[in-house]
Amino acid sequence: MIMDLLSKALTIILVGMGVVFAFIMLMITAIHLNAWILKTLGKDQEQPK
Amino acid sequence: MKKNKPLIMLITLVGLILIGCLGYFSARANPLASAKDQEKPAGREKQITDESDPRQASPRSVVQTAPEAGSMPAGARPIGRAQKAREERDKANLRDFSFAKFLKSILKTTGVYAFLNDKQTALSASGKPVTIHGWQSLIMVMVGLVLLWLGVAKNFEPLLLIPIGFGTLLVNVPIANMGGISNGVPGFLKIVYEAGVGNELFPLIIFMGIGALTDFGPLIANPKLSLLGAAAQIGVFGTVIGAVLMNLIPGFSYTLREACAISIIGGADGPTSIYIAANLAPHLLGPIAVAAYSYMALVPLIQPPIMRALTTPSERRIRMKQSRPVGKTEKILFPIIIVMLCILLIPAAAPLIGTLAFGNFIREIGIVDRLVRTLQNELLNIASILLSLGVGAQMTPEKFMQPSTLGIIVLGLVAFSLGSAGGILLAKLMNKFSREPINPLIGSAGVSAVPMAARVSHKMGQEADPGNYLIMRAMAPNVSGVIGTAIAAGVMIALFK
Repeated sequence: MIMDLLSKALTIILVGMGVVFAFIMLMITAIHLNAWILKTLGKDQEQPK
Repeated sequence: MKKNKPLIMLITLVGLILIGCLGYFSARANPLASAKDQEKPAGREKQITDESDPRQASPRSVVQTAPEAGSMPAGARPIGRAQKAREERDKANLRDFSFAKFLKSILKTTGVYAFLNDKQTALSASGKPVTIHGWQSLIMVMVGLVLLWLGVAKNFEPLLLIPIGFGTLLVNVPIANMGGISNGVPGFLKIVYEAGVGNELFPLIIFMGIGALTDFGPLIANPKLSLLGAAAQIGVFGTVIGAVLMNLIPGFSYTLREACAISIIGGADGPTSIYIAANLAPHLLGPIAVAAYSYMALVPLIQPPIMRALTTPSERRIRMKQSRPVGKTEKILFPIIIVMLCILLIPAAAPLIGTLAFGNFIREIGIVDRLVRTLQNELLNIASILLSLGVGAQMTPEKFMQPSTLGIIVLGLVAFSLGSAGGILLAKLMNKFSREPINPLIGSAGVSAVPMAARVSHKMGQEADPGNYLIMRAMAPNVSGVIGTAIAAGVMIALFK
């Protein structure tokens, strides 16, 4: 019973951390891409009012 | 007084642990679900239980005596039958009326009598029937008063602890049954709970408010620091193993759903903790919420020793480069980016990420100031009051004075410490490979607790080097921790869908 729960918990850690890191890595990539596109378009200097 | 804050919070936690211990040993010594108790209910004994579906679990539902099978004709309205019985009882009461009887019945409806003599059979957090005595409700009233004192006199998270404390106080008032159903009419706290806590509405409204209050600029300026927010989620996931291992101790038997609900405390995000608890283990909502908010208030006490242990003095003195300015368009597009990623990668987290992004989007576009002001103030405050009252409504003896509460308090601390350590260790690793130096102290800000965790990083940095200003750098992992915890919550929801 415990071993079964432990193996499931290990799976949750691996999958969970994998998904969280994947999301954050994609978010970082998207932020960089967004900044690059805005810089290319010359829209990166607009400051909040 | 401010210096004593962590100490007082610690004393409170020790008190909570003692209450948990009391529940643990009383549950071990006297498994009150004895057949005798169930077969022979005492004079004032009531049957209290939760509905079988945990998502529908109410704060405290008093089960009405069901009509005997076959005794009611098909289509008959049970309310009519109950009314008839009540009328007959009223007539009998009038026949038997006497001054002595009247006085006796008045005395029996006093709180003092109920606290001394009341005995109820209720379903515990683990679903086992337990006998709840009046004095246990009185202890919970005391817990409510302690929470009020912490909020009012010591200024610990007063916006949350005051309504939670009052909710705890009110739900444990005997006779009034504010957290249950009396004569078919739900009590006020039950209505509040079912209006937005049990169905997870209020945490989402609070997330909108958080989005409207948060500036993601530091994260957009230095996106790689958001990895620290991801690393801190090891506290959330790592504690799942801790909860499972706790099952080896007699008296503890957490299911995987409960383990996940408890471990989210490591994210140090109150609304997310409540959201997940309401979703996965509603019977543990009260202890989880109180533990989550207690540890958030204890950030200045828990994190510094971990930070000192895992960093060297020279690492603590590292000065980081000034971040680049972030344009308005970038800030406007950021919430759209995270919502799109959420839709593509983990739609289960969309309620949390979506509401956060919505609040932030209307903040950044700058053309709906009235809506932003409402989100930041009125709506956030109303949701906070109702959410906290609903959480307080869960603080009943059958749910709080149990071994599981003790486990939640211990596991919450483990989760919090693991999360802080995870962020620091990744920051140290990144510092080895990064061209720009990264102060590992900002890693601990990866647990959400906005902005307290970032302030602790800044303060620790200034202790090592008074000219070192880390606050804005630490805000990047801090706000990414909010996103990371929401994603972790989404993973857990997806797991049990």
